[in-house]
Amino acid sequence: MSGTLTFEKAGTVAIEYAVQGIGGPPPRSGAGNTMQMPGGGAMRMH
Amino acid sequence: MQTKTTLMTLMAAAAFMLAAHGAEPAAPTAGANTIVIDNAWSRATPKGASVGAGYFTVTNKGSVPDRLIGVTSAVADHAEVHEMAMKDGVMTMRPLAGGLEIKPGQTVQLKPGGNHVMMFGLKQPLKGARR
Repeated sequence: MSGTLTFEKAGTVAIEYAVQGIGGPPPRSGAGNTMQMPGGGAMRMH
Repeated sequence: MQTKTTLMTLMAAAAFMLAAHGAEPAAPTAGANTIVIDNAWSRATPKGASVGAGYFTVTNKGSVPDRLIGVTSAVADHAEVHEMAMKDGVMTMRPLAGGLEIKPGQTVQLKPGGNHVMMFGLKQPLKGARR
């Protein structure tokens, strides 16, 4: 599930949410890969 | 005459160089700012649900403060950053006025029970990945 985050200075950053099952635990942090975005942002891929 | 003009040009150039050398260093710009989004996740919603939530960790690796001022979702009519706070013994949820500030070097976690993204008017249920 995709979306965007807009920051006052860094601009707009794309974000992709990993959707967890109903009642499932939240994902562990640190998983996935980080991708640098144009304009200085970055996002973590799952 | 020519010598006088050349001398004045040289003096002007020297004055410019001195002024430039003594100028204040340029302030950090937006381009120097680096925002890293980590561990973005959401929870599947039951059929017919109209709202969903999103969570992530945001780190400001830049040298100037930044502020999350807007969110969108491809599957919702609109989305907002909300905060949860205890008021008179009751947990309340409301839009975060003025956005969410992230100081240089700071990591802010949006998580259940705290700040989070609220998605309104879901166009479809949020579905978890099949394993």
